[in-house]
Formats: sequence, structure tokens, C-alpha cells
Amino acid sequence: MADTGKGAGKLHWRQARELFDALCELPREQWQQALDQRCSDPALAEEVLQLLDAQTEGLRRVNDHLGMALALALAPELDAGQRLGPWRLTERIARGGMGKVFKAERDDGLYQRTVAIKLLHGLPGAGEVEQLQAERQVLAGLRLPDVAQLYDGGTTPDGYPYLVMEYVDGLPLDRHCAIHALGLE
Amino acid sequence: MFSGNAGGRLNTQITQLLHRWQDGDLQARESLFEALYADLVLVARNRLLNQAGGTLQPAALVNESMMRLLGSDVDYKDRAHFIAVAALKMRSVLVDHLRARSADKRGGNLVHLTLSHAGEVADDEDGGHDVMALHQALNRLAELEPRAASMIELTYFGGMSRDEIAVVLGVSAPTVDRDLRFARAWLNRQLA
Repeated sequence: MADTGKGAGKLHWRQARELFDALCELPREQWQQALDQRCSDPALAEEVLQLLDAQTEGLRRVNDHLGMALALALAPELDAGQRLGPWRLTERIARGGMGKVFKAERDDGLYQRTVAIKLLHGLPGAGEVEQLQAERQVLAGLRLPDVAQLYDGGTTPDGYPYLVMEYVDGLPLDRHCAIHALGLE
Repeated sequence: MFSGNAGGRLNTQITQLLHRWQDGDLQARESLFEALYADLVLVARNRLLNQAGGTLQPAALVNESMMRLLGSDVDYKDRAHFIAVAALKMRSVLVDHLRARSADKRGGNLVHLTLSHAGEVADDEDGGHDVMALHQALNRLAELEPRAASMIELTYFGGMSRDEIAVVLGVSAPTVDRDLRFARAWLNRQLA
């Protein structure tokens, strides 16, 4: 939109809207000719052409994303202070595109232990649930000194899977590599 | 689900709030927002538990919430106004959530991670940016064509039909079509 002050901007807008309304039912190949007849301002004509061109696309992409964003906004999220099975979440230590990691303590008085709990936030699609379950399976089979040990796993009351892992007070692998300038070899 | 009696009482309450809001009572709108939000969270939770997809369609959500809060025996105008309030609320829920989330990412020493460190996932996989961009573009549209901006809001955040929109805004259905057509074209260009 031309920066020619508010009044002129409004006028320009109204002209664009009127031309759009007059032409939008016409077949595409007639747009240019109809514009030539009605409009002598090439910038305005170009703008109207672009609008006409954009009229047939719905707002599909953003509409698809609305559903996902809505699920994330309305889905209950766990946070520090809440309990998950026998564990009490004490501190959120990381979050990413798909999940969160909490530091947690045993809260049933049986014994003391600090663990890390990894869980999906918002709404897992079937793919993410499977991925976390697969991760659970792989970790359960590993017993390496340098890999955080998997203790437990479960499902939140709302149906999201989570992992209970050994709490390691250190840097994530990628940060460690970045700080010590390690390559991938 | 509400049983007949409780549903009836609730129905009357919500309908009264809707009427007070139409008479310009903003407090009534706030009360509607509160009742709606609580119900939307419940409906969302139920739906998400019973399906694996992980998305919610605004239209389906609003519809179910309306059946629960208003029942099926409501006049057309009240229905339309209910959806209008729901669309407003839906938009503000989304925007609040996205704002909180981006504040969350900027603040604190939270380490960025993905669930499995092996597969990096783009941060905006869920399209939050697009939704925020729509919200901002709609605000700009509202300065120039407020009525068309309302129509987009009602269509996309409330899942409202053109006839319902016509009732709420007091215009003819062809006017709704024309405004929507222009607004979509304009937004498509803004969001491209």
C-alpha cells in the first residue's frame, strides 16, 4: 500500500476494493483488459491483479495450522509442582519443539531419588507417541556408563507417554560438543 | 453430558448472558468467555483423548461446546451469537498461548532440545508462526475493512457459516461472500 498519508491510503484501498469486486467474477484472461479500461494507475492495477490472483486459494495452510495450534493451546500441560505417578516434578530443565524435560523427585516416601522425566507437551500425533515408545524400548535395552539410564516409563492421566531417566547434571551432548569444539568423528 | 434439568438451567443462564451481551453489556461477555473457556478445555481434552491426530477443528469444537452449554433447542439468533463469542474467545486463547510460548522460549536458561537429540525438529513444526501472522494481518485488515476482518474471524476461529455470519453482522449473505472473497485474497497476499 502506498505511503501517501492516511486519507490517500484509504482512497487507494477503496479503489482497489471496488476494482476487485467488479472483476473477481470475470475469467482470468479478461482481467488485464478490464483493468485497462477502468484504471489508469499502473501500481493500483498491478495490486488488483495480484489480489485477483490470490482470490482462489483458501487460507488452507493457516487453516491446517489452526487445528494444531488450538490443540496445543487447549491441551492441559504438566508443569513443575505437579505429580506424575510416584514422581513430583520439581523443575523444568529443558523444552523443545515436541516436549519438555523435568527434574523430579520420588514423592511416595519409599526412597529418595532425583530423576529426569521427559514428556511430550501439547498434543502428540500417533507418530510422536510411537517415537517416544520406541525410544523407551531402545533405552531399556541399553546399559552403558555414558548413556542416561532408563528407570521407568508410563502414561500421564491425559494419555501422553513419558520416560523416567537417570538425572545427569551436565550439558546436553550437542552443547558439550559445541563448547569443546568437537566434531562428529 | 449434562442431564436434562441441569442442562436446562445452564441453557437459560447462557442465553440470558447472550442477550445481555447483545444489549451492550461487556461484563456479560466476560462471563460468557469464562464459561466457554472452561467448557472448551473439557471438550478439547475429550476429543484429544479419543483421537490420535492431535489437531482440533474450531468448527467441531465450537459446535460440541454449544450443544453442551446451550442444548439443541435454541433459536437461530442465539446460536449465531454464541458462535461469535466462541470465535473471539478461541482467537484470544490461541494468541495468549502463542505469546506465552514465545516469551517462554526467549526467557530463562532453558536448553533447547528436541525429544530425541538425533532428530532435530524445526521449532515451529506446529505452525504457530502462521497463526500469529494471521492474527496480526487480521488486525491490519480490521483497520481498513473491519466488517471483512470480523467475517474472517467468525469463519476461521468459529467455523461459522456464511448464513450465520449474515445474521450476526446484520448483512445479506451475498455481502458476506463478497467481503470474504476480498479478505481472503488480501490475507493470502499478506501471508504469502
